[in-house]
Amino acid sequence: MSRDHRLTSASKADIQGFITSAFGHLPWTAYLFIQFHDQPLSQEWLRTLLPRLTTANSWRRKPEAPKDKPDRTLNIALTYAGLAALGLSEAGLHTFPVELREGMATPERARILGDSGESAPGYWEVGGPLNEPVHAMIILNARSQEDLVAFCDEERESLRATKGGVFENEKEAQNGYRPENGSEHFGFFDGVAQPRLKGIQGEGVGTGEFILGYLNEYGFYPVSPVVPPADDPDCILPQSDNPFHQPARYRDLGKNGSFIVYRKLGQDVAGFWRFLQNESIRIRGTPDPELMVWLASKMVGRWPSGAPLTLAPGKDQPELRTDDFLYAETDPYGLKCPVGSHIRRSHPRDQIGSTGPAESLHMTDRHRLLRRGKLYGPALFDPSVLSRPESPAALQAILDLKDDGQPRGVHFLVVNASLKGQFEFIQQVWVNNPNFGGLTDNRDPLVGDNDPSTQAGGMLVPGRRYSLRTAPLPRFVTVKGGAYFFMPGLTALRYFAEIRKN
Amino acid sequence: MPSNGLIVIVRVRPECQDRLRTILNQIGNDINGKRLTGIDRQPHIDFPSSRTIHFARLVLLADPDRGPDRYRLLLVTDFEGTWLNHVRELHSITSDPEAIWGCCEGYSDFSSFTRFIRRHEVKPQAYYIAFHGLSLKKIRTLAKSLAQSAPPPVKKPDFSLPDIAIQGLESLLRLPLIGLSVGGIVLRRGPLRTLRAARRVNATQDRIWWIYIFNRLALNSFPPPAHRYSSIPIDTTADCEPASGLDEVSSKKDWEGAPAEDLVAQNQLTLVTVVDPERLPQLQAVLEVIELYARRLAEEGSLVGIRTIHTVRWALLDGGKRLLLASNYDGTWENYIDEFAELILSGLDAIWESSYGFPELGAQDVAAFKHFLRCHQAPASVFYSAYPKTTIPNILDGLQLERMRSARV
Repeated sequence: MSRDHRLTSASKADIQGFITSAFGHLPWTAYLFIQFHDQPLSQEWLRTLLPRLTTANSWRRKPEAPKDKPDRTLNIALTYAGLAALGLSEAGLHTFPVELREGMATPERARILGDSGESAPGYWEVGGPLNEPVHAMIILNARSQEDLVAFCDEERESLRATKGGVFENEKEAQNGYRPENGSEHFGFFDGVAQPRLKGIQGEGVGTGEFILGYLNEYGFYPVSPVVPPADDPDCILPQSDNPFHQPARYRDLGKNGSFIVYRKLGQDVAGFWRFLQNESIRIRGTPDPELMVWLASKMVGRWPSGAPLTLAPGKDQPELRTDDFLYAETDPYGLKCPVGSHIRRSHPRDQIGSTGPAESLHMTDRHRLLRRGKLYGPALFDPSVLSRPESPAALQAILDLKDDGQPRGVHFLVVNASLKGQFEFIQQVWVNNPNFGGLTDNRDPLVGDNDPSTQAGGMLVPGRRYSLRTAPLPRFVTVKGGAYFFMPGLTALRYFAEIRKN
Repeated sequence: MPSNGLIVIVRVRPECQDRLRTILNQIGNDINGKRLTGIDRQPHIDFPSSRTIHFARLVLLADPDRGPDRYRLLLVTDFEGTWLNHVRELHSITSDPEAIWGCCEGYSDFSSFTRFIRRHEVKPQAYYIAFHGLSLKKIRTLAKSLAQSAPPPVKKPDFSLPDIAIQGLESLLRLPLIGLSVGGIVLRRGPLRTLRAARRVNATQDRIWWIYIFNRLALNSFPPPAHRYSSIPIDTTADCEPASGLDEVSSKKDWEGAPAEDLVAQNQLTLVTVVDPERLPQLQAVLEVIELYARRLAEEGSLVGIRTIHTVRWALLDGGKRLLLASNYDGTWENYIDEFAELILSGLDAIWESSYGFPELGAQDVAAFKHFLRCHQAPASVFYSAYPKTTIPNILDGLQLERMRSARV
């Protein structure tokens, strides 16, 4: 492995822990959205926050010592407006990518992301044009719900101590959790597919796909924001290594940082299973829970247990839950896992359209996401009924599901080094592309922008003898909020805390 | 039915420029499905009524040779049938030819329209068409049958021995033609330039077996970059800067009110770069090699593995001073360029390394290469596709489905 992928202990101490770990042992999460009203007071608060931040430092004191996992974690990410509010110069601000500058809620980004109809930013609960401005997001993780409340209280106390210098949009604060069974609200085991990083696991995707300052899958260092040397008189930031930046001696703001997508996605669980029930009646003339689970799995690309259809085409086999499989050899026509299914769209592996397997793999490696999401809202039904073939009676629970009026869904958070090249690309070119993989007219059946006004056709489920086309897909997932953030390294945060007011 | 292309560049009268831009932008909106109210009173070109035009675009290109605020009108079309019928049709589907063509220098009236077009026509040096023999009617029928088909063609037919034999024979028959073409390039451009062009174009194409053999024989490889940092300018808000005094870049002004060219499924790309005169002969050899690919070696629907291009042509303008690229492709711009960088990296370098502003590390510095393209791209005021929701894989599947059906009968 090349030196340019590896994370040294010094760089781990600089990278925020949120980027390198999903903190699997900490199921409870709070997302606090804040505004910087006064630059010096905000910077003072930021200085006191720095020592409390969780870094990517190893949890082992010594290589052979047991892991000493933290009970709480705290991380912070800034919007473009937040960078400006902390006093970052125009020259520095202008080196950030246009996606961050525009933010997620502008008409241009909404068009690219497919946030139309009910998903349009005008309806959002956080981050939209009618919501409070967001300058930063604080992400808190804790072991228990009680401790999370205490943790939030402590952090809110430190915000109040700024006497309005830093202001929290308390009404828009969000809470998330990871369910013990690991299933998301539709009932499917989630979080199986996570890219491995060359810099952490020693193999997988180039570290620079997720952290600025390391080689990415193009074999290059990702483009990194900088400031002119005059803006960093105390030389807090490292000098940019880019030879094209040498004459001007720019200083590197991006090193060990990354870009974060936050999206609040509401799930219509009752609508999802009702659609499947209607499909079952259409196909078989009667509601058939087993057929409903089968068709739902075809839409997802995995069985409720997380076992991929490509490896377990006939029935759910929980022991096959893995992310280690490909399509081109075993399932080129989607007879097992339909080409239009959710997991095949969001990660086509070795088969993008008609490109060869090696090239496809190489290209998909350039469009990966580290997912850091959590759920919100109570489960509508017990998802374990979906994967208990021994008790078919239990499966009746998914029949005639009624919405209970409770909001539920997922806080979808991802880490990527390029918002445009990774998150937006996947969203536009794969998830919401009606012509994805040679298809003619359908979007992602699960998370696609299947708005009635722009609605594509039904999903195609190819079979060896008979293929099935579902009824036109309604919207199951609605965007309820979101924003783009930059999650700086600790050195850059220290710099933001020290920018002089001009 | 032969597929043909037309490229026309005409100077726009200075007093007419703003009016023409307004008229063309309105036509563009009309074609995109937003039928404008009162359109009948506006001059428009009724492309959707044509049964022979596959793609068309109208672009206002900066004309720096004549002054900073001067423009030329570029028309690029892909059509079937004869040249003459096409030109006559272009005129007849234009509601008020005077309002559009009357803005151009050299246009007088309908009687001389074909002469006017012929005088300003530009011939491409390289022209690739994904489907040579497919008529518009056929493509639309295929798309329709594919959308209605259940089951779709999930199984490609197995190749039987006779099939393979026929294919082998076809390849053999093509050999003399290929040999003739290569001979022609060598005669026109010289053996050294031809070899260098072939080496530059093919360096990253090892996955194709006969190019693999060529690369081994010609000791051809693609050198790694000197370092791994992008040369993209740091200021993401700034207007494009010309790389040298001779470079020409598009400005933000040109893009105001222009349609966003990142739609799914089809888009167009119009690119004009300035060629270093010393490197023009090498570029000419490269374009001839690409023309050879496009005409003799490309499989149906695929240009060296790229299945997103419906048509693409390269043309030298103004006596070789500038290089025009005009393509019609599937998917978003980002995806299109990414696929290029993955599949034909060395070809990109070979084509544009002779242009001013090309990144120092070449197209493998993808961020800088995209910036180079964006800065030399001209927005199309009018873009028309006869089958905007039908991709190349859709057409290939449609053909496959048809073959399977006829085999069953």
